[in-house]
Amino acid sequence: MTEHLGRRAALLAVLAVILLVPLVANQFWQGLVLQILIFGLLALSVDILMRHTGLFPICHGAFFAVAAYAVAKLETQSGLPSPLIVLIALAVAGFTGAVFAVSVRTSGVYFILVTLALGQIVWSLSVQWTSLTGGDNGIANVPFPSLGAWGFESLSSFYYLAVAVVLLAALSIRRILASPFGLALHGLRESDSRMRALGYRSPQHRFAAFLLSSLFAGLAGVLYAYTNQFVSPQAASLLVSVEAALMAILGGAGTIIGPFIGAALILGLRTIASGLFEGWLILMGLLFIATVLFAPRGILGLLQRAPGRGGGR
Amino acid sequence: MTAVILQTLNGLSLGALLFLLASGFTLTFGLARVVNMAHGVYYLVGGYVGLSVIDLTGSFFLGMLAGGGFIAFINFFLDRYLIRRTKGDALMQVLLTIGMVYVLAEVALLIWGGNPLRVPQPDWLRGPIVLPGDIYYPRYRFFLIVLGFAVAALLWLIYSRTQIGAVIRAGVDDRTMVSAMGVRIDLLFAAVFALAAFLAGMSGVLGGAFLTLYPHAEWDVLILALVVVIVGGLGSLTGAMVGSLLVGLIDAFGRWLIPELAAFMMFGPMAILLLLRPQGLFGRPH
Amino acid sequence: MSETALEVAEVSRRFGGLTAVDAVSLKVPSGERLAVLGPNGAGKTTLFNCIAGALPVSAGAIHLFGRRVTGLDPAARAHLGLARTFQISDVFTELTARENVLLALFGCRPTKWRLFSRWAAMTAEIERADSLLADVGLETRSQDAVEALSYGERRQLELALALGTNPKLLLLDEPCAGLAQAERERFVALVKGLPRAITLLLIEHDMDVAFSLAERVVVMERGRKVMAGTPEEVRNSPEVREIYLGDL
Repeated sequence: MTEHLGRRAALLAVLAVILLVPLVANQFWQGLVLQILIFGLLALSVDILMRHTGLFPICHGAFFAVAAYAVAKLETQSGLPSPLIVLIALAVAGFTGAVFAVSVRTSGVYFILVTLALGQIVWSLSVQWTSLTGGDNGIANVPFPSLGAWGFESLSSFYYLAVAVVLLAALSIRRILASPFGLALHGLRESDSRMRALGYRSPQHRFAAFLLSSLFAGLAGVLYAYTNQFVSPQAASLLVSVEAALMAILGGAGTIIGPFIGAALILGLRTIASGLFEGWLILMGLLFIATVLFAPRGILGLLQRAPGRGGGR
Repeated sequence: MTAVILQTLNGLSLGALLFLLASGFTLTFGLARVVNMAHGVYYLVGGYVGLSVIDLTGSFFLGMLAGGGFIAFINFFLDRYLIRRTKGDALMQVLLTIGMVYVLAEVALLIWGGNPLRVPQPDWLRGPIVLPGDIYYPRYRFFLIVLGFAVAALLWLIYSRTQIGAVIRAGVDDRTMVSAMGVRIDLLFAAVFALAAFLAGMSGVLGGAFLTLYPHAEWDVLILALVVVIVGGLGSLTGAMVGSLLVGLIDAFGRWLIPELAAFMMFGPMAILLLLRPQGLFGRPH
Repeated sequence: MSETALEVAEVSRRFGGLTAVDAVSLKVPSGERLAVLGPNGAGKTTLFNCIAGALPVSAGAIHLFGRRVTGLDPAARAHLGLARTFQISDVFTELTARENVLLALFGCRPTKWRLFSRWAAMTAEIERADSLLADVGLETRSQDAVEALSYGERRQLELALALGTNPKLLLLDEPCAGLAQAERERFVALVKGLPRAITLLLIEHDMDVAFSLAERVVVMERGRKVMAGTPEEVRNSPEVREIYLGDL
C-alpha cells in the first residue's frame, strides 16, 4: 500500500517537473523532454505488441515516419486545418499498419525479420521518392499546429499540448490493456491453441492489436513532426524501430511508465555522449548488448528483483 | 533487347553476391536457430579489411581471404561470448546482434572514414567482356556471376551429398535427431558458423569492388539478404538460391523501370507472398 | 434427447504414411456421456483434435448439432457450443485463475472486443467466473496466479475454462491423467455432476475412469473403432481384454 502511494507520488512529482520545464528551462531542455515523451509513446506502442501480445515488431519507425511525413507535407503545402491534417496522418499510419499486418500471419523469428524488412520499405521510399519526400533533404519548416487564425506560436506553448496528448495516449493504452481485449492479448501471448479453443479468432485479435499499435506509433510521429519542425528519412530509419524496442525492454516489466523510463535513459545517454565524442553509436551498441545480457527484463525488472521479493513476477 | 539482357546480368551479379551473404545466414539459422543480424556489418568490415590488405599486398585473392578470415575469426568470439548467452531467445538475439552492428560499424567508420571506398578490381578482371550478340559487359561482374554459381554448386554438393550435409539437413528438420546421430555437434556448429562468417566477410570484398563500401551499407545489404531468406524460406539452401536470384533480378529491373518506387517492386511481392505462403517458397510451415 | 450433438462420419486422418485415425464413425445424441477408450497410440487424441478443429481431417465429415463443420477452425466450432480440455494442461500460467476463466467467458461473446471498459469493473462476469471456479473446487484460488497452482488444480482449472464458454458439447482429453487417486475420485464426481444439457465425450486411457463416467463406450485400437457398447459389454469383451492385456 505504501509502495503504491510512493509510486503515485513519484509519478506526480515527475509530471510536475515536466510541466514546470518551459517556465524555467530553455528550448533545448523543452525539446529534450518532448523527445523523451514522444519516443516513450513510440516505445509504448511497440510494447502493446511486445510485452502484451508476444510479438516482436521492428517496423514502428515506419508508422512513425509516414505520419510525420504526412504532417510535414500537408502542413507545408496543403493549407488544411491542423486537426484534419492530424487525422489524415493517423489514417496514413493506420493504413500502413493494416498493410504491414500481413506479418501477423508469421510468428517468432519470421515475424521479426518480416517486420524489419517491411519497415525498410518506408525508409527506401523516403530516400528514393524525392518528389514526395524531398529525399535526404527531408521536409523543413513545418509550422506548429493551427486552426484558422488561431495557432501555436512557439515550442513553449505547443509543449503543453504535446504533453497532454502523450498523457492521454498513455492513459488510453493503460485502459485498453485492462479491458477484455487487453486480457485476450495476454492470452494470445501464452497459448494460441487454447485461445482458439475458447472461441477467439486469434489472427483477428493480432491484427487489431497490430493496427492499434501502429496508430499510437503514428500519433508519436505526428508530435515528432510538430516538435522538430523537420522530417527526414532518419525518422524512418531502422535505428528508430530498434531503439523503440530497446526503450520498451530497457524500461521493462510491461508497465505503462517503463517505456518512458527507457526513452529517458537512451535519449539522455545519447545527448550526453554525442556531445562528448565521435562514434557515440558504439555506446548505443554496447547498451543494446548490455541490456540483453544483464537486464533482459529491464531496469524496473532489476529493481523489483532486488529487495527481498525473490524472482517472482 | 540489349538493355534487358544487361539488366538481367546486373540482377544475376547482385543475386550472386546476395547468395554468398544469405546462404550463411540461412544455414546458421537452419542448423543452430541463430539469427545473426551482424551479417550485414560482417560484409562491410570484411570488405574494409580486404581493401586494406589489397592496398598492402596488391593481391585481390589475399584480400578475399583476409576479409573472410578476419570475420570468421571475430565471429568465433562474438558467438562464443555474446550470441550464445541469449540461449535461443530470438528477440534477444536480434537486439544483441544489432548492438554488435552499431559497435562494429562505428569502429569501421572511425578507422576507414565516411567516404565511399572502392575495392580495386584485379587487373585480369578489368574492362569489358564481349558476349554473343555483341554485348559488352563488365568482366568483373561476369566473374561474380560465375563465382556465385560455383559457390552455390559447392554448397549444394556438401549439403546434399556429404555426411556433414546430412547432419545439417537433419538438424533443420529435427533438433533432437542431430544429437542422436552422435556427431561432434559443437565442432559441426563451429565449422558452419565459420563458413557462414567467412562467406559474409569475403562477399564484402567482392561487393566492395562494384558497389563500393560506405557507412550504412551494412543495413542495405542486410535488408536485401533478409528479403532473400524471407522469400526463399528461412533455413533452406534452395530457398537462398532461388531467393537471391529473384531479389537480384527484381532489384535490377526495379531500379531501371521505376527508380523512385523500386522499393515497392521489391517489398510488394514479398508482402503478397507472405499472405499466400507465410513460410516462404521453400520453408517449412512454422 | 433425440437431437444429435455430434456426428463423425468415416473420418480419417493420415500423417504421411501413418494412418492415425482410420474411417471412424461416431454418433453422439444430446445429453449422452460417451467415452472413447483405447491404449496409447490408438488415435484417440488425433480424433479429438479433428473434432475440435485443431487438425484438418484427411477424409470424412464432422457435424455439430446438425451443422457440417468439417472445414471450420476451432474458434468457429467453439462458437457453435463445443469446448474442450487438453491432455497436457493448456492454461494461461501468467494470469490469475479468475483471469483465465474470464477469458473463457468473453471468448464466444462480443465482450471480447471491448477496448475501453475495464474487466475489473465487470462484476457480473467476475461473479460468474468465481462461481465456476467454486464449481470445480478452486474457490480459494481465484486471485492466485496459475503459476502457483498445483498440477491437479490446473486440471480443475482446465475444466473451468471449458465450462466458461457455456458449451453444449464438452470434449475431455484424459481429464484424470496424472492425478492422484483422491484427486481422481473428486474429479469424477465433479464431471458426473455436470448438467445433462452438456453432452460429454471423453477420451480415457484408464478403464475405471471411463466405466464410471460413461453410459456408452467406444473402443479404439490402431486408429480403428473396434467396438462400441455399454460399459458392461465392453468390460466383458474378450477382444478388449486382449487389447488391454499388455497395458495392465
